[in-house]
Amino acid sequence: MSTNTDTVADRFAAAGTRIDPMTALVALALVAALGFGLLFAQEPLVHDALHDFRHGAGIVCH
Amino acid sequence: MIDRLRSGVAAGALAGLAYGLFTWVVVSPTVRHLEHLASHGGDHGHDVAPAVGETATAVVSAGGGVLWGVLLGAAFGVAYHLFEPGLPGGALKPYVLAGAGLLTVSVAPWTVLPPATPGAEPLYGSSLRAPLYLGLIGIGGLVAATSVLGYTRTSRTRGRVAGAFVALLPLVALGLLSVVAPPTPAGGDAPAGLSAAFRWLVGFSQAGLWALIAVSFSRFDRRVGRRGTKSPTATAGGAD
Repeated sequence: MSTNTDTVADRFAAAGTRIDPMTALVALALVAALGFGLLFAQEPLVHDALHDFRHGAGIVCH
Repeated sequence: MIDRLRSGVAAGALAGLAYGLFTWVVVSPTVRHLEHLASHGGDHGHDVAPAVGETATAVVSAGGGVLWGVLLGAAFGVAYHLFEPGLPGGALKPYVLAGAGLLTVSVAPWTVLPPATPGAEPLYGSSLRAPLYLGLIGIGGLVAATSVLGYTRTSRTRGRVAGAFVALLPLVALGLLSVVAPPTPAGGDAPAGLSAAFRWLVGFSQAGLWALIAVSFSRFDRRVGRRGTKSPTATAGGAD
């Protein structure tokens, strides 16, 4: 793998300096949107269409 | 970071494709069948008003499986990059993280809310289930973190067996949670054996999904490591 001298804290610090907050926010928003759509969206059309998937993945909010 | 994210998404897409196929071929027919069984005993929730046809449900659910893989893979890649120095196991690090992920996202929520058998009446309303689910994911993350931390700390000073023992303690605590939690109705009108089998199917499919992500991620990651032998910080071009 890569350099194994750094620590978890170093990785977080490096990520903090190299990725600006806006990018991080956008990435987080994208992940949240995808997660929400798959796990929690209760809108009937979306919800029922993902029905089998939720059962299969053991996601409780089906 | 970006390289790891890319590897993670690629691994997640690969695993997600397999998982989507599995949803299509195995899960959808099983769910159909179990709901069919349940609906014969009495009129339960799901077949009251399906807003979408069966084929559409199968297609979208398979697509959901793919996206689920991508989502987990992306999270896996980022988490791997951030936590890699702290993970035990040398070359097995991706598998350790995949196990932690399975514990966080699936196993911890299942201790209180086990996979619902199709056709069964849910115990809580969905407005309670969603926050409960998120909270349990948080607990799962905490359990996984303490387990890994306990292992690395203890095995450094007292050897691997003691480390493994300490790592087991949070898992046992999580298991106790499932004993304390109120039992969910097993399977509506579907036979008990069948609903147990369905739960095992769900559990193994999630474990398989994570294993597939870990396998393909370590493959991709090794290739990236070979291509740019220096640290991942060198790839400034793909920073954002």
